[in-house]
Amino acid sequence: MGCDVVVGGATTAERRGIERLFVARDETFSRFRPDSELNRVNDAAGIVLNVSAAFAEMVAVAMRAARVTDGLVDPTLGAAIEAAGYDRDFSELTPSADPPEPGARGRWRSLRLRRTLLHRPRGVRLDLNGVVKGKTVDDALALIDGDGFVSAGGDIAARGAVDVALPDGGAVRLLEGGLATSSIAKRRWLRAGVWQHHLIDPRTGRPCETPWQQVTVSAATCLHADVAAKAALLSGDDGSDYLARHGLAGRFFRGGGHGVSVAWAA
Amino acid sequence: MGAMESRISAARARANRANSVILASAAALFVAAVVAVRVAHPARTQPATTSPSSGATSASTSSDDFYGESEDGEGGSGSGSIAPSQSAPQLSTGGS
Repeated sequence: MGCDVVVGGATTAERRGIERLFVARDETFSRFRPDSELNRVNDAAGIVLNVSAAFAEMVAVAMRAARVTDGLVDPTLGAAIEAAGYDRDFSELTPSADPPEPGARGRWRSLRLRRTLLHRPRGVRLDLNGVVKGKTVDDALALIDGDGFVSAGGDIAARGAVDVALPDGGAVRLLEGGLATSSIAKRRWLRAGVWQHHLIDPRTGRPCETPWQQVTVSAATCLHADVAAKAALLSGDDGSDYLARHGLAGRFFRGGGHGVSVAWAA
Repeated sequence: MGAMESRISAARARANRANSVILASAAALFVAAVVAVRVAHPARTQPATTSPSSGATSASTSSDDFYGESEDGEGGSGSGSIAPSQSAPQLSTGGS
């Protein structure tokens, strides 16, 4: 998944199980593995495909995320992220003089899923990374019997207290549940002298414009925290309203240390 | 005497046939009722040919319960549990 995974509180056997889980998810959902199921689905000629149960489950999760965010977290932005220039592993991206190509808007409502039969209109390319990491972190924590935590690239699920450093230099104690940060300050690359980033606005098919550099959200699970953080960041000035509407706590960071908190008791 | 036995046999045969018909009809009605209940059940998923705007999937549920339920379906609050930090951070959440 192109990020560091940190595990606490796991036995050796549990840690091995978690490692296998992350490897399996990467093999299935990576955009950068030619043989991943995601790429096989995206490259398939047919519009109705029989996918694996694991793939279907993730598509279902992604569609629920799209529904709860009114389409802000959209699983059909695979072509748009590639058009913006993120078409290979992030470590291999280099500045390019070519401007980004126009990106396709999100079309999550065009997807149909019935058990393992996926209907995907021609031209729609899936990118499930909006939910894969958070879901995998939650599933990994479920492999730990007692108290513990799992963090993948700073998206965290914990059972039992763990102190976590925040983007603005502060810290918070996560007692239970998930904590995730969505950011446009990382995973950036240059195209024709203009910074691009990986958070695509499904309404435009382009990297989003938002007043926030980073949004951190606390939720019942890492998946929920990650989805909410993305939605809040994409909501711009309405991001705090989005969290308040769903009863979630979060912190919004602008550049220069300015921040806004929503129900943030820490 | 023989004629009477013949009539009795014929009557028994008619009764047996009637019983068979009744049993077959009852079985057919039962199957029809089961099929009718299954088709009309509200939990039955929508056919794949529903309107494109419905966005229905066999796995999707109301958006309202996404943040309110835990992944194991046991429910729970939407927000996680956080408190002021009490020691040096073991992890950092830096954005992805």
